[in-house]
Amino acid sequence: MHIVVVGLGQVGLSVVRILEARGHDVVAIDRDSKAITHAEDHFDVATLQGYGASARVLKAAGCARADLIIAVTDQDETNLVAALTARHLGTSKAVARVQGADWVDIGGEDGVAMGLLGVDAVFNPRVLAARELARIARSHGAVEVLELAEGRVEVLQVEVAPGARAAGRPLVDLRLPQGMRVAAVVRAGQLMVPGGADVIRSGDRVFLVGLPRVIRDTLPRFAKVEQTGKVAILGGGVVGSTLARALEGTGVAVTVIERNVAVAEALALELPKTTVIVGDGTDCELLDEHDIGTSDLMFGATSDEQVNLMGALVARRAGVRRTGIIVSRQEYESLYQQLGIDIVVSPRQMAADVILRHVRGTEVRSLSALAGGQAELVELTAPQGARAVGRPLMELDLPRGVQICAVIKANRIVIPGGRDTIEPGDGVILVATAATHLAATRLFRVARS
Amino acid sequence: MSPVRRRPAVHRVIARPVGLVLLVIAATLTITILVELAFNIVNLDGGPPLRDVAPLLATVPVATALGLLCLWWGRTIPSTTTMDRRDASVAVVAIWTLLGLVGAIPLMIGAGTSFVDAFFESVSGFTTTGATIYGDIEGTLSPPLILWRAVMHWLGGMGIVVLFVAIFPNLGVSGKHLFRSEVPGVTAEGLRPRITDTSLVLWQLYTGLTVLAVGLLWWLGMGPHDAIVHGLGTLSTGGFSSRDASIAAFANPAIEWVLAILMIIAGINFGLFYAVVRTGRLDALWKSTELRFYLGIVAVCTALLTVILADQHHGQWLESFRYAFFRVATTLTSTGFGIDDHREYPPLAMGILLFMMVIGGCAGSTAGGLKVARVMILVKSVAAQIRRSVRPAVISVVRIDRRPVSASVVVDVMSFFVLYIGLLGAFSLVVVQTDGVPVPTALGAVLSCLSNMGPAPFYLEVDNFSGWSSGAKLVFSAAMVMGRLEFFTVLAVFLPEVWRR
Repeated sequence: MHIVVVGLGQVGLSVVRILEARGHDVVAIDRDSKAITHAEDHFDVATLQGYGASARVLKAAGCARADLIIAVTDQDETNLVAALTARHLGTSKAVARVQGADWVDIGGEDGVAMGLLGVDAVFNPRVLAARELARIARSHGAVEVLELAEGRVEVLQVEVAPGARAAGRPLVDLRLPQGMRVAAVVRAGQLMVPGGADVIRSGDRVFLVGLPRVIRDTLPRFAKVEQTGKVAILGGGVVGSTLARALEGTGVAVTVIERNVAVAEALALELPKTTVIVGDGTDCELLDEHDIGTSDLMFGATSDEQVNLMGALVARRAGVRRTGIIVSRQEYESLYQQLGIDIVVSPRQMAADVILRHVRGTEVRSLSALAGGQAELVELTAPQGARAVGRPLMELDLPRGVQICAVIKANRIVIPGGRDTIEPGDGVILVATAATHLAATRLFRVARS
Repeated sequence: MSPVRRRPAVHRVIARPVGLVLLVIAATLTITILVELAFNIVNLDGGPPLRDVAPLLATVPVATALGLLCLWWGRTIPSTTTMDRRDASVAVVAIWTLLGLVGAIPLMIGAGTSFVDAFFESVSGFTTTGATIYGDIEGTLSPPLILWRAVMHWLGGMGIVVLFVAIFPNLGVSGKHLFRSEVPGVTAEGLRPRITDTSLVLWQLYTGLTVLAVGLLWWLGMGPHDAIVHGLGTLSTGGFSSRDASIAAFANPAIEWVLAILMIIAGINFGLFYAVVRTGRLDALWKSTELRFYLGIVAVCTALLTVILADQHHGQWLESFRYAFFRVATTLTSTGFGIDDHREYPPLAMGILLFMMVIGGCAGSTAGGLKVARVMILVKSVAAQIRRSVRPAVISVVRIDRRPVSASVVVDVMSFFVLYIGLLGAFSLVVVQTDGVPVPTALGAVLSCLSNMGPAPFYLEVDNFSGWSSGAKLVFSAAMVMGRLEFFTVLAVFLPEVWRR
């Protein structure tokens, strides 16, 4: 694919890195010569210095015959104009990111607006992150919640509690119910896709995939289920306010701590049931004064990663049971977990996930990176004639590191065993480690003759 | 999060690409042998019935063993390790040094040439210089060795590292750094977003033109072996011939015209050919100011030489024009084929030849010299500087193809020029000292090597490099490699920070 990437910030660079590794023809555009030099030195891509929304620059980048434009500069309007201009020039598909407060209420349930202003997909990663935090808050103990197949399949990441019933025994002996399975296990930062003989230990993080109802029922065997009654949110910006809005009226007591008086007042006006405090969220006395320590959950949701981390650490010391932070760099995830942060959400990673959905062939519906990109959860449609289609799964010889987690038939969802088959048109949810990713997707590609 | 790791030592990081390039050399040696064996079976050109491929055959295991040794040396380095610019420049210089050594082996075995002479000849081959130490080519070199010399030209012309990047996918950014170390160029723009594709496109065009050249030469009456040798030597702007008298030996004006035009084509930026192939239109050619400037130099120099040489040809203008045109093509593109003896030229003609040797072909071509694009930038920035001296308030911008040339590129070109002149002087002084020759002779020989030209003006007695001392030949070899890699890559290897980690 010929792909034009406008904007070489964190998201731009991580998208370029992935696209380059997958062998796409990438042209990267940025205004800043330093960003250009960095990309030149680190990636095998063509670069162009200039204003990404200008038709002249986009033409020079080959937008007339490009398959996709990805507009991820830090200016929302530039992104939209760049995407529109490229579409106008002849690019087949356009994806644009927005992140400002004025672009919060776009999109449907998943936070991605299809066809807004003629751009194929517009998304706000901060909104995506806020929704993810809201799902976690409602999930009774998970540290990550993903919804697939329009919410019919759920993925939960949970930390296995000390003394949990599932710990210390091989997976086959757990007799897990039919409607779910353990897709991946992360131990000491290393992800593996488990087989039946593998043993889960307390302290591991496991990814459970399956029907939402079954997963909720099985959850107590892995982690201590906790009702979340009280949530504190540090920061009333785009993420914080969207999160507060999502939790408002769900029976959860929400407290937002915001530094800026005007922002705090606006939020208090909008959300009658939410407590809004003006002040510094890393201030111990403030936390004491307002009993933040009794919260079940505390999210550091400002745009400053360091403030979020400090806030979460202080809150943890004050007695908050679980803490989560919004980060800009996914690579520190395991470091943060060592420091005792339970939940790490990266809007940038989510942005990259959304973008990459549009890069794959049409059969891929969605994908999400697990454990900092060590594995991917892919949702795709099985095409007629692919190798994996029409024969029992046990005949497929899946490489270790690949697991088919769910098959979505027209009217039901099957968590497949060895004798089940995938029919053309079925949705398939699979997990594959980075090393086996290619082999896994090849199974679902129609061989070109 | 990956823990911080110390980068492994340079010599380990570069071992894999160096080893693989050596294996590529072994493969091309094998192909050369197969071609010669095919000539044994189908003796198309009435050459010797049995061609002795033993010298080439003996080199294959040496190159293979060296390659495998390099791969073994770098076995601890995961294949995903990317090279940075520093590693790439060391790798490219190592590759070019090893090329000189491996390429010399068949000549040492097959023609009994001394090590230094064979190394000089091999470096001259790979750098497409075409300077030779053989006075009696037909008597000394067997057909397989003559073909091997041409193959060295051809591999070095578009660049063996570029070939390596083209045929080994997944090099990623390492490939880009390797490519840039071998092809520094003024025009850094890739033809395609990915460097593997760019390299492949360049090699495809190059191969296509070479096949065309070989076919034309054969059709015009050259024997097939000679056609292959000269086809390879023309598109690479090398200049090794299979005959002592070079092209004059064929006494065929049609061949001379075709060769001259092919040489001029080889001196054009291959990126322009790609633009023509991609768009199917010739606009790209006329839009390039560098190409117009280049063709302008060809026209003016041909006209001047025609007039100056008219006396030698007894006032036969067409004759004079034919010789002048061939001489301009062979000199400006630094090829070095000949149809007459330039030592008999009047001093003014000699001056024009020197001028063309310095300028060279277009950037992005296989020709040597300063390159036309650099000359244009030099001239324009000097003009801008002169203007600035009297009107400092006026902002003068240097433009090529209507696009402004950035200050860093101007500095790069200026530094290049300084190095070119500086090294010309330094190397000349060294060989004046070692061989006690007159300064013009030394300057001519060094200039010929730096520009990858081949024949040198102001020779002593013989029209080749056999008379120089071993020390001088090594100096010339260094000059040829520096000229081919355009200085910076080679000189960067001498910086301590390239090796320090």
